[in-house]
Amino acid sequence: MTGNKSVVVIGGGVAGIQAALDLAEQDFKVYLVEKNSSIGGRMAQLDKTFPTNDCSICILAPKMLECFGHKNITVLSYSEVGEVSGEKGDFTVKVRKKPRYVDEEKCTGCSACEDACLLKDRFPNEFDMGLGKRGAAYLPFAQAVPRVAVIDEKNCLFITKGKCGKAPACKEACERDAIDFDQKEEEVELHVGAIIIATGLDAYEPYEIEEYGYGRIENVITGLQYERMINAGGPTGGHLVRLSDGKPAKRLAFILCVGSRDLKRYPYCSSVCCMYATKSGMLAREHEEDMESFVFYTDIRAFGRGFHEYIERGMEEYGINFVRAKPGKITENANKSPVIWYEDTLTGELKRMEADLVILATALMPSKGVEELATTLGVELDEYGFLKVRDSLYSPVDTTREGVFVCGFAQSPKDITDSVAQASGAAGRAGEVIS
Amino acid sequence: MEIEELIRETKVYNCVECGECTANCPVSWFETDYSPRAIVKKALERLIDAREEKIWSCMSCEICSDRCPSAVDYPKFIWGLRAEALKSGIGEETYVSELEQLFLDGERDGDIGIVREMTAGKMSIAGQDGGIVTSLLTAGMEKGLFESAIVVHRADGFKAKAITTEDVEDIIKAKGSKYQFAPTVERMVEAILEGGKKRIAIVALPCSIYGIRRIQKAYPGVELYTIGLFCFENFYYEVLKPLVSELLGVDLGLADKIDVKRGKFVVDVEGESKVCGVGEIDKAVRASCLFCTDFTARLADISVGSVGSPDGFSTVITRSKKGEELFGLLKGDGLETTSVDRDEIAKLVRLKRKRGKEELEKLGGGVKK
Repeated sequence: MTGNKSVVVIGGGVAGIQAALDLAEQDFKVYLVEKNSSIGGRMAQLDKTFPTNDCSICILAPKMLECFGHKNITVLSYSEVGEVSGEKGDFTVKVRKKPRYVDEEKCTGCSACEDACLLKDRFPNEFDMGLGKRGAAYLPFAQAVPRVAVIDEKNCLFITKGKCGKAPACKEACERDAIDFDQKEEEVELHVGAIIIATGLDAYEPYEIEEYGYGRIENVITGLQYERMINAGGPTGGHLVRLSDGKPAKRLAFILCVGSRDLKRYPYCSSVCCMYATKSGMLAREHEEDMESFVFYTDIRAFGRGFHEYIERGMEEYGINFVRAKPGKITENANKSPVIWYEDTLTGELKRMEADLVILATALMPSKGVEELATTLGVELDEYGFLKVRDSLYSPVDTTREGVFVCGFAQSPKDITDSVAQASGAAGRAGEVIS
Repeated sequence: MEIEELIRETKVYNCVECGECTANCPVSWFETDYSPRAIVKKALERLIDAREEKIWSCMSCEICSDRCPSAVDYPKFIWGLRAEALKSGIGEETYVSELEQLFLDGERDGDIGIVREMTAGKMSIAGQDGGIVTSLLTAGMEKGLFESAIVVHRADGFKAKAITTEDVEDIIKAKGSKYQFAPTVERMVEAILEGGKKRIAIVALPCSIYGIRRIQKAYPGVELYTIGLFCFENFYYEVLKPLVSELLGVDLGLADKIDVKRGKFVVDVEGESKVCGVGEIDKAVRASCLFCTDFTARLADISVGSVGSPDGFSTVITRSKKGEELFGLLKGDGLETTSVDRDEIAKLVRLKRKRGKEELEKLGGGVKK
């Protein structure tokens, strides 16, 4: 078609990484654009993956490194797509590279700046879903790729006030002179034959569902917060604790379909919660023998291969209690324990149950900013904000614009396995365009 | 309306049987054989009989439909069944009079219900009219008649928020009518079951007082002082707020006071009174209000409202010994009284009763308008 044998992949989660690697292995040039300061996406935050309970980052980290080190892949982290013109086979994509105020070439990720920052541990750590703290200068997470620190320009004293002690502490601490407050936003212009969108998901923060108390009752958290809490590299070192008093959490209640399958909010099924809640119950039991888990479900949607068996294992081998009920509300008792009010719909009995932690499996949705990106790219979204494909049966990775493909959660709710499979599909279709 | 049509119109077929409705239903926690989910399930299996008593358990608080993820309109479904029941000659009177006998003690007034004493009263404390409700609560709390009070505060502007409190300051802050439904009964259920409270005062709308009495009948172990507010209808804040802004050009959230009086809707904001006809805000009226026939909170220990009293006074109707005991605290404690215009109250009682009856008949398809 044209001589342009390169592709832009937007989004550096597991789907974007897979698509990039597939194309790079076929000797195509790939630009992987990631808006965060590290690639890895949501999978990097997870503790284990279902249905095998493998360590998530142990599988992903080698892929992240392979991607970053690949001769045919250029990773543009902390970058966003600004403008797109041209057509299939010959796109011009302008990418805005945000200043991270740290020289990527010089930084070794030693974290001396992080330790020196005067505002160390002052801000909620995004990677830990707000459970942990970070400073204004910080490494995104232990396995970050690139392993380069970033300075948060909204909070850094030197950037916001022009003054940080006598001299910026991070700059003093850095032995490689990598801190660079003169960095400015850069624009990179790329010429590519195809574009792949792999922008993934965000999790719904259920503040507006007041009856569940998220944001008001300390021991009510979300599924992603639980992933960080049970992760050995997370803010509690893998210990499940009550956020109200730091004491061990022994009784866990998972509530499914919070905001999802809800006609007033997110009407679709997030497709992974039945499985990850079961996984979470299993992991809790693996951490401590006396853990009790309750999964409150409307109905169990374990549709994948081996999924139903996984749920059964959860019940039989791990003693997870499945309760058929969508709780009405959660109140907080005098011990700061959440109390779940529900109707057991199998028996019709109304009950209350006290837990140490309530974990809300909230709706998962297309990641923030996808609407703007869709406008930039001239592609259509469906009624829920997912990327529309031309034909869900016969062209499941083709967006409404030729030469632009989609994979992973950006297209519809799906788990890692399906995201990776679709990513290879999108890479295949992009490869057709540019070969 | 035929059951098939009712199911279609209220989206009963959407139900996924998650049970969120029943878990949130204040009455279901005490009347254990009542469950919105189960009623809907029976309807889907065509096993429902509109003549059964359970359809009278509902107090139309609309919490079930509010929280239903599947958009089932339970209140309308229940009203639809009641409309069917009406065709067999079954109405609410049976259930209301049973509760009157259980909880009230006084002379019957054909319009106003059971009455021990009816007067116009005024206290020195500021309130919507005569400061009566606030004074009753603070006096009762100070005298130790009850340990908790359930009142309605303003949150995010003028949005009603029901709270449980032991604090007199909170009671004073609750002054003024909100003209919205607030889930006071839900707070009461929490205070009883979770808070272990035994003696509670609650200020509530007529519909809620009905629910409270049903709960009390099923669960006599709690001592309640119920203060009912006169109510012709209430409004959905989410609908009312933009409507007020469109009609009156003011932000309801900034209002100091709102009032419905003599067919006018009045918003006091920044020292000015903005007025429109109540008819102009019709579309913000709560759906269940249209079917309601109770203006004076006929099942409360004490009913309070502005209708029937001169400006600055509130009409007070005591209907039980408990109500009398509570109101007695204000006598000799600065209460000013004057006479009540009974007929003015009766006029509104009849108007509301007529509307409720007609709307229910209309829903049942009995009267074509």
